[in-house]
Amino acid sequence: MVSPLISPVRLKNDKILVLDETKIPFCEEYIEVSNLEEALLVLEEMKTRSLGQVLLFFYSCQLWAESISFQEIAQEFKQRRPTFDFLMLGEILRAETSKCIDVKEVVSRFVYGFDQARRGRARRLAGILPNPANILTICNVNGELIYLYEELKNIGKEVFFVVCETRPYLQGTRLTFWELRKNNIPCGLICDNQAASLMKEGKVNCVVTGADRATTKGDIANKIGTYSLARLAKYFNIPFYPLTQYPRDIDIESIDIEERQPEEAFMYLNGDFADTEAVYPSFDITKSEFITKCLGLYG
Amino acid sequence: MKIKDIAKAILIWGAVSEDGINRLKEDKALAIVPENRPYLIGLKYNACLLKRENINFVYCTDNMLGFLFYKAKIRKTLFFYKERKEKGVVGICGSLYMLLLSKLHNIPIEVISQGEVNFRFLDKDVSSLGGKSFILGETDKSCIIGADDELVNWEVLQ
Repeated sequence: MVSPLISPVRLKNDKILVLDETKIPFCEEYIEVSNLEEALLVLEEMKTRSLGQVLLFFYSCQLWAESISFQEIAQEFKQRRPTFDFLMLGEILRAETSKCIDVKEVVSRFVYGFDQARRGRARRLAGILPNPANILTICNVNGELIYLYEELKNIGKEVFFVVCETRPYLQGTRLTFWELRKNNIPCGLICDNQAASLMKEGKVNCVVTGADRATTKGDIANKIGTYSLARLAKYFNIPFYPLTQYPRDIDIESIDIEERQPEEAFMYLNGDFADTEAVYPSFDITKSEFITKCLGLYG
Repeated sequence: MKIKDIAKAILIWGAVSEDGINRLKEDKALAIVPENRPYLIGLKYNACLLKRENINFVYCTDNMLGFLFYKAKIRKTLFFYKERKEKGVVGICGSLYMLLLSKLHNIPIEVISQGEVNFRFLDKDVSSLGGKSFILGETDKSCIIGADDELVNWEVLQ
């Protein structure tokens, strides 16, 4: 089973190839990134996100951290996408390279280790989920649902994914639904607002989402709409499992919630909406009381 | 607009009626207009109507409502229903989602009969947005879960 979203950003000699996620499902096109400014632009324009932004950061550090430090690159990334913890990624690189390990080696180990950890996490989660597992999900977790499907099938569990379209960028429709269907994985697609109705009818019995940020207390920040799913899931006694990485000992409320340009709230709609006031918080916060269990990379 | 600029707003869901317009005018509060997928009633009908009536509003997608409740930006919900039944009221797709979120955040809900929608729906379910399909294959279209009207029991509205 394959998905280009499992590894959406790659190194090619002294350039970075970035899968343009805004063009999926209509075409699989890669943007060639030749310098840090270009890397920051593709990040700002949402050409890549989630795992892609992590890989973009690491490869940018590998290629261009001669005249600028990891932390300075992290600051630049954070300015473009303030919710994600690029400063922590910079700290990981700084700590590892201070042990005299070459940055290329550190990045290579990280990329391989991260994929292995995601597979391991899918295995652990598969053991927890019910049989059949009718899984509600939102946004996109870069192929990890494919890993989860394989692990569930390996232990003889039936699976059906219900994907929220994830307005306004439609990551659920364009990325998750597309990659699941591409691999003939049983799934259905819904408007974000249909989630409660499906929960009430018993058509989903667990929720699995990503998490852009996590704290040691078990709170998360993730794609807008995640909080609603968690609140509703709690109301209907449905378990809610976010996939987390690198939890920090911080107050979740201290995280910057990125607000995108208002016009992006009308994404993919034809028309002139310049005179319509809009709001677009890109992420929301879910407290631990609404979370059944956070699935970290290693436990 | 930024989240910090929103305060004590009134959320509207479903096609706003004349009665609803009058209440919004009396209240003089900022209205929150979610898009109401799949039909886009919020964008294609409510937003136009409120603009014409000079009622201040801010538009958002449906999945942003939870965060607006979480941030205590909404003080009242106006729910425009399609039909009253013995067990509850029938509203457009997503009514249960919005009403439960209102209830879970202790926001009062006013139930009002909906207005008459006067535009042709380009989208009947999640398979398209503004008439454009983001689903590639015909077999994939069979995976669409229908966006039906929803019956919301009276218990939710209490």
